[in-house]
Amino acid sequence: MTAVLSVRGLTTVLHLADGPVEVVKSVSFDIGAGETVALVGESGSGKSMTMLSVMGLHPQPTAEIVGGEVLLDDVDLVGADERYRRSVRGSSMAMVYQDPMTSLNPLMRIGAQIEEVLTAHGTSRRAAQARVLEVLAEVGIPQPARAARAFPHEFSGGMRQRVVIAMAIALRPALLIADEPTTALDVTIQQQIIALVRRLQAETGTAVMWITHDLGVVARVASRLLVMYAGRLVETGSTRAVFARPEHPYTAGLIAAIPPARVAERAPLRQIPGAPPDAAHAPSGCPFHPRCPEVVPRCREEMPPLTQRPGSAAACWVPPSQWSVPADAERGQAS
Amino acid sequence: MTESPILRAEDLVKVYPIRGTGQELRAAAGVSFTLDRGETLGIVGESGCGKSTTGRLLVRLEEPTSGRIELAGEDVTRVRGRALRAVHRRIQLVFQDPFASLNPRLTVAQTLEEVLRVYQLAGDKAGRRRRVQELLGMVGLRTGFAERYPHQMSGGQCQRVGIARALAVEPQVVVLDEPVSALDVSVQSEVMNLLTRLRDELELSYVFISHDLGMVRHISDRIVVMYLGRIVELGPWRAVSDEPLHPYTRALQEAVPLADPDLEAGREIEPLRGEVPDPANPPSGCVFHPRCPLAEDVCRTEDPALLELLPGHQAACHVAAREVARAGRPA
Repeated sequence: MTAVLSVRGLTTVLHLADGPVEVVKSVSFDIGAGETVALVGESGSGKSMTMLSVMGLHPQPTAEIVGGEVLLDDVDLVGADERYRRSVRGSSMAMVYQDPMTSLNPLMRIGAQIEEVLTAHGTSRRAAQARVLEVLAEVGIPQPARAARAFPHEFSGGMRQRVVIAMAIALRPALLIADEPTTALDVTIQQQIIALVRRLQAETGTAVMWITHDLGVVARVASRLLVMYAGRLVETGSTRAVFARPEHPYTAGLIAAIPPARVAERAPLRQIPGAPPDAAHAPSGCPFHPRCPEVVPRCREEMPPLTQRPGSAAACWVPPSQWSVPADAERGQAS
Repeated sequence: MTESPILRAEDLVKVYPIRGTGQELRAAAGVSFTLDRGETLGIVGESGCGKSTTGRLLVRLEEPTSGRIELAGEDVTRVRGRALRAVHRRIQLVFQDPFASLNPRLTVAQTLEEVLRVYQLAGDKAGRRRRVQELLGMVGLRTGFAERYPHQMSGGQCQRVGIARALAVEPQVVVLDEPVSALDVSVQSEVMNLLTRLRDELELSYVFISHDLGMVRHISDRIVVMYLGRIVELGPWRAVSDEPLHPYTRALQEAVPLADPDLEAGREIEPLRGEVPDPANPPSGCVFHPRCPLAEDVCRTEDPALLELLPGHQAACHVAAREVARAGRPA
């Protein structure tokens, strides 16, 4: 599979009053054409900062990329000038945020906003106007001509998110980065948006990077997942393999913390003591060690590398065969 | 003789005027249920369904426009002043946002001691100190947390303080409004386990309000499903969550992604069409009919009653009622 995006050793720091803090720590991954990959993490894991860095939209100068490469069509965006980066944003890769109003101007008609994205990348005004109506219809907005003349506040949250998706796909980007696009929406609307993204993907072959904290969404949308903790990737692999046999205790804990579906007997949920650290206070060695049931002395000293296995990788000194809490422990019995 | 329910809601209606329009919004449009002693009743629904309004009515943070609330057989619908304070000794609310619900200027000890002082519990200052330590122990916080301020604690720790504050008055009923929704996944399970343990140890009764059907399914004995201010389904946890009678519950259940790729792979899911209608202008007949895949003519004109279609299992649906009568199960 050809990679649409190759991220190599991406490292981003935040310049805080006490000095620089690494919030994205040597993150590497590929996304293949047409693939859906989930980037999973809790608050402070660095998942959003990773993708903002990929897009070149990290809040500068507070945030700074200090290492690594972001290869889009084999061109390194980190080293490229801002004009080139701007030219690929929107056309080759586009981002959808949790809050649609991040991307929408409240004072501008919706059609004009989408048109602006198109003309900024060289589409003629006339062609852009036609494309606006087409793309609004593609994302399932009724009466596109009327919608194009409306302002964002005239739409519900779900419809606004459709507008933002229309804006993001208007130039048929090879990669769509969706940062918690359904977290603020009701679950029946979330399902509509998931179905929409899937349909667009099937029609256009866009690759999708879905950033989420919700393992249910991961299981529904992604063929592969990347698990992030305290600025690092701690596990990657195919969604099915990772859910069936997690190789990092954090991933295993997260999966077992969720009430299992369709069980007849309800058992207490797996607990992970403590709370996710923020990057500024990440513990030494493996950042998960203070919360980990499998901790050994080495974990406190040394960060384990993300060890590649066929189709998966995990950053843990203790192999699952030696865990004291097996990955499938404490799960209720399926009926 | 069967024990009477600890809490009874009878045809609760809450109408808010919409400023400047002369219109009104029926946030709760005739909500009735009972809560047994030691029972957990889950209330699930999407935004605007009236679940939080119902919770606020139950604890009498707001007064219902009409209807009746009974606490241990006593009518508390319109009590005020001292009588209302007595009600609040028996029924408490835990809020969703653990930070926002704590006073940022008070330490944990001050927050809890204030409750004890207001309700004249735990005797003198020394007694209150002891009780604070006991409450912290109950919710699994080390004694050192007594001197912390909210900003010095994680979301999960703040929520534990919120739970301790509710328990300080030794209530019989706790209404939990989205108690884990603001927390990280790895922290949610801890709070869920804590709630389950406290319920069993202290023989509490819970009303557990959430948009998260998975969490509701995990903790509830019975589940209420609300849509646009109404109860559309009510029944045993497993029946409602896994074999729902109402098409809205079924759509909700299908829309919830399961954290299990094998189960997900086998699901053919048609998203529910449309969005929740404007509650100020609800549809005629069954309020769900514009989105319902099973809607018939009768649904557009007649509001279906909430009927017991299977033992202990109620639903408000013309189609489900007919199908259950005919075939013993929904279509």
